Amino acid sequence: MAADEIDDYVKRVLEQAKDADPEKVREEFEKYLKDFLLPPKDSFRSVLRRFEVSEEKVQSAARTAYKETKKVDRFAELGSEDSNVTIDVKVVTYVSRIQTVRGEEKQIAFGWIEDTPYGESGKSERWDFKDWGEHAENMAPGSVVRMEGVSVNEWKGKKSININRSSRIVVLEEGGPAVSLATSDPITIEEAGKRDGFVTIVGRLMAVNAQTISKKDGSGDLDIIKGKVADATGSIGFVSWSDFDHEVGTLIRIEGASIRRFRDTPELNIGDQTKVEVFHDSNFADAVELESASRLEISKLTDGSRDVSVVAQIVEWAERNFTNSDGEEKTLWGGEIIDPTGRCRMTAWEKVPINADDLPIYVSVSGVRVRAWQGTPDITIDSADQVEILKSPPWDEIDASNHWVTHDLATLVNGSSVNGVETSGCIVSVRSDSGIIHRCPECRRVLRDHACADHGHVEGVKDMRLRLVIDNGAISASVLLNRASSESYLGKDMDQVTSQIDDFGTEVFVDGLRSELLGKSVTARGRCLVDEQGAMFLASELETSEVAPAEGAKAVRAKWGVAI
Amino acid sequence: MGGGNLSRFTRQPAIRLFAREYFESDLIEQGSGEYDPTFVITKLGAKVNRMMVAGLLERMERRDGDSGANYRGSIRDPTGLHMFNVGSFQPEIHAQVEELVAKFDQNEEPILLLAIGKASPYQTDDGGVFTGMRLEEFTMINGEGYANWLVETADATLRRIDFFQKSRDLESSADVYRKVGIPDDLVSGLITGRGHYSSIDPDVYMVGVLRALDYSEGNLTTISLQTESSTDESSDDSESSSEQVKEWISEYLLANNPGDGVPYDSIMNDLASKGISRSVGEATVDLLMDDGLVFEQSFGFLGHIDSN
Repeated sequence: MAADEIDDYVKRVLEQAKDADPEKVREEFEKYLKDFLLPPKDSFRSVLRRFEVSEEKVQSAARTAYKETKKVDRFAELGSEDSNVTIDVKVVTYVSRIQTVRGEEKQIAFGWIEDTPYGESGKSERWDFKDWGEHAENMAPGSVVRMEGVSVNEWKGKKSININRSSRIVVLEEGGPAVSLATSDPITIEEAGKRDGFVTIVGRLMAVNAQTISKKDGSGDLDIIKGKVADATGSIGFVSWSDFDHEVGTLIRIEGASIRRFRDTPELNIGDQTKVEVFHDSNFADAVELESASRLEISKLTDGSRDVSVVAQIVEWAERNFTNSDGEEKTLWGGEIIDPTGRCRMTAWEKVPINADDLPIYVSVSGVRVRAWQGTPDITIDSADQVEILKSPPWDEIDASNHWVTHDLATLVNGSSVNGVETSGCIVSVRSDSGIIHRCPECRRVLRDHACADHGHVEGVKDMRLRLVIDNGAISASVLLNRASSESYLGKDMDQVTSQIDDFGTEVFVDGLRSELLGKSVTARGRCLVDEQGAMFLASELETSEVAPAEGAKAVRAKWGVAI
Repeated sequence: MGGGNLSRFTRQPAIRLFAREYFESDLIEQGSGEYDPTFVITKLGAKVNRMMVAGLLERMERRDGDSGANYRGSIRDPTGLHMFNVGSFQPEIHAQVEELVAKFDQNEEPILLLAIGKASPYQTDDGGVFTGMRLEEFTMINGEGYANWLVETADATLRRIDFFQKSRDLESSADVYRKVGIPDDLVSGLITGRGHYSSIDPDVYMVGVLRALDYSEGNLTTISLQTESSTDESSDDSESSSEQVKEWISEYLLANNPGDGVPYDSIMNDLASKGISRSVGEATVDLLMDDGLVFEQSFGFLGHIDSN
């Protein structure tokens, strides 16, 4: 550091703070430089302030009392006089209008909102609302928002919510997806699976089955056709509600089928408006080629998939007996399987020749369906002939205890539930409800004010969790550490954390976590659950990056070709 | 994906950016749909709704309004100042902010802050844009944490500079951009920005990046002697140029105050046209405020005590 440069700034400080000790001022600049990486040019203002006001005793102003916030979960808890209310709701409708109020034209909006937006329990109640504060941008129909500082209005015995100008609307979940319209240009099956609305595809018919289902209202039976089409990018199941007269192996073009989801898996819905016709393309892959292409990797499995083939390494396999609803004794086999792209579960309803003592065993399963077990895909085997034991392993034995497949955050958030994954990003939020929680002994819901939404006042079961948000600058995801993972990360057990919180309060605990984690680069390992509410990363391990800034800077320079 | 129309249920990502890139933005996008979030689009094409910033806490104060207490502050990074606010409608962080005010007032230690917030742009009647930030979450960090943020943000900025340069000579079309590999989170921002900003000089942001990388490596010697615009710092006697700048600011304020204050930005622009760099401008405004000659009439708007 050019000595005269600091001197320059010391001089400037002394101009203003005439009684300051030049040595101390210089020391101060040097401290900012060394400890805080701030050159005198940037720290000048702060240093000046320190020396100017150090003689005065700064009295901190009395805290202003601000109005107590009333936080509720349901509309039923609100009285007609309540103001400054905080509640999470789902926006059902939002209609903007120009209204003349007291001779002035105002932009107001009205609509419906429903409480308990996460359908936690019981029926949601729907109330009217009026928005006086032009919060349109945060209140898209279909979104879930937290409203703060809203008030209750009662008119002719009916209560509604007034959203004021000073109210705050925080979007917790954005509104529904855009519905796309089909064009006559076909898209790939992989692309179709990601959309909602109507699509046009070209694919080879891989399977066709006529089925009869009973109508839900009990008024009779319906004949439907189910099957599967495939192209080079993947395969997709379909359901046809009208006649479908094509044979397996035919190349067909389906125009205007709607995408529906069976659990997490997309399916084509062929209805009256859908056009299905034979297509000619000599370059299209034939059935044999597509069959092997339809083999899925574990990371690509989705809940609700049917007729799937997978090659996997069995890591764990056990037999389990249980009594079903009819009182019969049944046996079930299941365990964990793994492939280079991830891990998941497998369950068999018929005995298959897998001996737990001979593990690892490698299998190829085909024609199986996929369900979900706590967010992880569970390959379900209905009959033993769906399983083939492989004589030679398709890969070198994978070490299951340390098999974390790295995915970038975008891939995880936009994919389906997957286990055994690792990802990285920055922690951009530590949720205030991290720490000790209490769960309802009946249904495990998190209690609010010692009450379960379903079961009323109950004796809660203590639990611990950390809720964070990870973000890589382009996308973000929720991260949850359960009790075991939290204890492992904090290096403290729940009792120690409890006494810490009892002594110093939750806020201090959360602030402490923030100072440890906010803005830090981390690697999270565990599984990623993706459902209608978005992506949630259930981390079993959380590691902060050890890379020193200077090293990081070097890497960044190299990455972008910036000179040293 | 990210930064623009996201798939359902994901929250807006936190854009890492330096103060200058944000400060120099004056393009607000309300979103294509009526209900989409508000974005500030920077010259480098970033669509900012949520941001992650860091720097030295330079100002921090509480104000009491009709609906309760609210707070204003600013943090300084190697490229300039970030102004932020905490509303009276954010009671959940008030306790933490009060602690920050107390610590700031005690004035014992410099406070480095890492903050995540929402873009909170304010448009004046004459079309001027003031870019502020509404604080959502923050923590105090040490030198190492700050250095890490400098590296992350340098990386993010370099990425934007790189793609900006790639897009420069191309036809302004989303398809063309995508074909050369410009990622989704930047495509629409670059196109909208191109139609709005008359001159974009990425070198200005490159200076900030180099500075940040130097600092993070512990190398702080190179900086102050580099100037972004023209003559000021190289000029002879720092005292007289400081006096001259003070005069210019005072003149500008007296001549241009419509009554409720002159936007901070326009003072800086005026100084820039006289060849004064932003950092000198900011520092001089601070000196004038300390002298009691200049004050903040309302957030981001300054006045001179001699004006009527």
